[in-house]
Amino acid sequence: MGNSNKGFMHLDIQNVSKNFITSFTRKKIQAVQDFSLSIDPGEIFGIVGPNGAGKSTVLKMLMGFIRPDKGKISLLGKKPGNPRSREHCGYLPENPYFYDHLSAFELLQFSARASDMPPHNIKPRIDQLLKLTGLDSAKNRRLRSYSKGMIQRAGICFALVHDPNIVVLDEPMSGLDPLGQQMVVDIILDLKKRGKTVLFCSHILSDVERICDRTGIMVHGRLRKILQKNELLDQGNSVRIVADALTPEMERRCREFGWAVLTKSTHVTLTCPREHLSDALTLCGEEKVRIITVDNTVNTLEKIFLETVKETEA
Amino acid sequence: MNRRIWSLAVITFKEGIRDRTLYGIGLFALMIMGLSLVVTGFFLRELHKVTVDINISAITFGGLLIIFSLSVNLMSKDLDKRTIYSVLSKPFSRAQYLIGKFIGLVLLSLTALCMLTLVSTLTIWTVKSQYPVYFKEFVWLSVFQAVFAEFLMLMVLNAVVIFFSTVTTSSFLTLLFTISTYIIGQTVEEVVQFIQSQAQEIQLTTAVKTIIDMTQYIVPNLSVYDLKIRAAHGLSITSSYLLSITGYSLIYSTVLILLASIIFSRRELT
Amino acid sequence: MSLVATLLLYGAAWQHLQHERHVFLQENYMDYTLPFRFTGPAAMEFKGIVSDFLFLKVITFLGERIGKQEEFSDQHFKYLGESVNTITDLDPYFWDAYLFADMIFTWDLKEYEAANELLLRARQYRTNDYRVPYYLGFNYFFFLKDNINGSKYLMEASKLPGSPYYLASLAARLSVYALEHRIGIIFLKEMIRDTENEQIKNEFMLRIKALEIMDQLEQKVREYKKTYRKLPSSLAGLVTAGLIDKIPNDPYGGQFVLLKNGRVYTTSKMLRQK
Repeated sequence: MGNSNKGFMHLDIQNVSKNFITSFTRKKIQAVQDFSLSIDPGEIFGIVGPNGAGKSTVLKMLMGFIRPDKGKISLLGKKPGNPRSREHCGYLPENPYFYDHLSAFELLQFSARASDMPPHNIKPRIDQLLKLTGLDSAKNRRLRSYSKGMIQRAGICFALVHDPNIVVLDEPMSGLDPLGQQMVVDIILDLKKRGKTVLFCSHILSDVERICDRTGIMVHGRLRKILQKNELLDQGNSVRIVADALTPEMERRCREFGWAVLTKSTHVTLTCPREHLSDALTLCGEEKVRIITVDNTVNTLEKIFLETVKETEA
Repeated sequence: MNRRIWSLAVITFKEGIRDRTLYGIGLFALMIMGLSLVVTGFFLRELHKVTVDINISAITFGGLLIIFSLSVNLMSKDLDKRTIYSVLSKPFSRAQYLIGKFIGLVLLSLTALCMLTLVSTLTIWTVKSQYPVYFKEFVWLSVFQAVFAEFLMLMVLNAVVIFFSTVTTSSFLTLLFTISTYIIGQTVEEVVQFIQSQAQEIQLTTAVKTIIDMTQYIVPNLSVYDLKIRAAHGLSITSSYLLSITGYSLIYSTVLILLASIIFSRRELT
Repeated sequence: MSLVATLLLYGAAWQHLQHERHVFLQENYMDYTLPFRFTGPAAMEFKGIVSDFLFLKVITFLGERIGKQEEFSDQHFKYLGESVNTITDLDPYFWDAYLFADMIFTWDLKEYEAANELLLRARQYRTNDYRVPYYLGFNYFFFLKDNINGSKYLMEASKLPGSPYYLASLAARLSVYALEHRIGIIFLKEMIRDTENEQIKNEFMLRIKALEIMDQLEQKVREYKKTYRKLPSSLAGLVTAGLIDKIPNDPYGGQFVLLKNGRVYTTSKMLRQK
């Protein structure tokens, strides 16, 4: 059932299924099927999947908005139907679902009071969070006047104000510019440093890859794969060279060394292990292959993701 | 737990107070009160009756409009705009959520009523100073007692709104059912009395009789909150009566919220 | 340009409608008030304000008729009667409506019983208002010539707060000396003080005149009895005895008669023949 040094898992989902019936055509949609997941305290878990994979549905079942048809859920040792399960849980819903007549300050005040924070702690904590997310200057303006990115930041503060032990984020990066996205990454990593557990779903695979201890790929309501961080890392040992075109001799050498070549109309991508990089570059120089760029970023997750989806379709 | 419920009540209250509709309704009620300054000139002697009639009716009407527009919307917006997620993601039970909303709505009605009553007091005082001789039968206490009774009715109607918003999914249906409850609640006592007095002449089938009997107990008897005519003539109400109607509204509201909690607990929020 | 044309058209249409509407209302001017059975439940908790509105309608209706010097048909009175019933059913404490109805029922409709019925209803609700038994007593005294009941209600009125100082003694004398005209004169003189309506004041003054004449005649009859130790056979006897110059005329057009017990009455019932 998973090893935990805190006595219980922060999150335990066992064989959960959920079906919806569309009201118009009475068709049954299997939103989530036989979903199982256990998360240890202090772990960062990311769920990725195509639109409509059922990610949000899982999170909603976790928060008690909907009930699973089958299976069990335990959040911080309690059932989602028990409001106390959410005492030390922070949730960020997808899309900005917040009262827009409130100012950021009032919204956070509500979140703090609703979680029974001691009154004298509330204002300093709110100020701290607002400064961290850059909302300090707008804190007394109504959310109605905020940009999408600002609302998203307010939502993140909303989830964190009471310093929860587990943080559940539904698409935390949505609506944020790259600076904002980096901010979220920093926040999540900081949470981990402080021993908090984070569960989030996202479309931005590069960030997921970077920060998650484990990643789950969800397609058509099922959790297809769970990948450990080092798995991704291992497979992230390649480097890609993007060039104009390869000479036939170059292509032959690539085949010889076992380097993958992907030809597109505008460019050619050569993938080789990291330790072969200098050799490959030397070769390109010799063959007068014009290099456009060398891509060091790790896109393993993207690869596995696309593979997994393709497998499912088959 | 109380802090939690109160925090929800506060943001619900703020949502209503910050809604422009409130001020439109206030303006409308104010116009009616202003009317009383003009209309009294048409009447003969009992100016206090007309002035009090118009003013308390304006307050009541304003209160009702707030229920039918604001209260209904404040409940349905939560579900339509999905803002309810931000509340229920906190350690609220479904029942605590409804209680918090209820208290917020009641506070809203109370505040609006107080504002309207304040203006009304000024209006009545103005007319009174102009025609003191026609205000001999006027008693301030009766007026405030009548307004208090109206507040109790608004409390019950807020509970009705909450109940129907958990039962139906459309805000229009909630509105329809609440208005129907209001109308039936106002007329049920009269109808029952009429039937009882005409028992010989009117032949009713047992089915109809049963329906009417059931309606009596299920629907709130709202006519008990109508103290306007007594206020218009300066007749005050016994404290036992006031206590009784206060108890009735508190208990009836509690029953409705409990029922609503049970229904709402089963509901899925997709 | 087209806007101006449309507005002009609207103006013309409005004028036409006004005219047609005027004709329509003239032909169908009789209004109808729904009985309380319907207006009651329909008014729900706004009965007070509906009663005010209906009362205003009734007053305006009456005012229009009087202003145009129109005759009151039976239908008019039926409408007024039904309206007042509905109004006082909606608000049983509505004194202005009761009073208005009482005035019309007694002075115009001569429906004294109906007037008293209405006042009796008012009496059930306006338990502390001296004016209700006061007007009841007055009706009995003035219109129904029933001094017994008149005195009973006036006595009741005198016990209620705010009643005029003279009521108690008036009521007492009315009951004991049930038949003296002088009491009536005092009563009527007080009523005149409270009345604003000129027409009604004139009625009272006429009645006072008749009563004064009868009172004087009775005084002369007593003088006659003192002198001659018996009553005169008729009023003519007073003339013969030189106590009066001639038998005065009854302002109501009737004839004064002397009764066996020495009281003087008139054949005219002391009410204007309409």
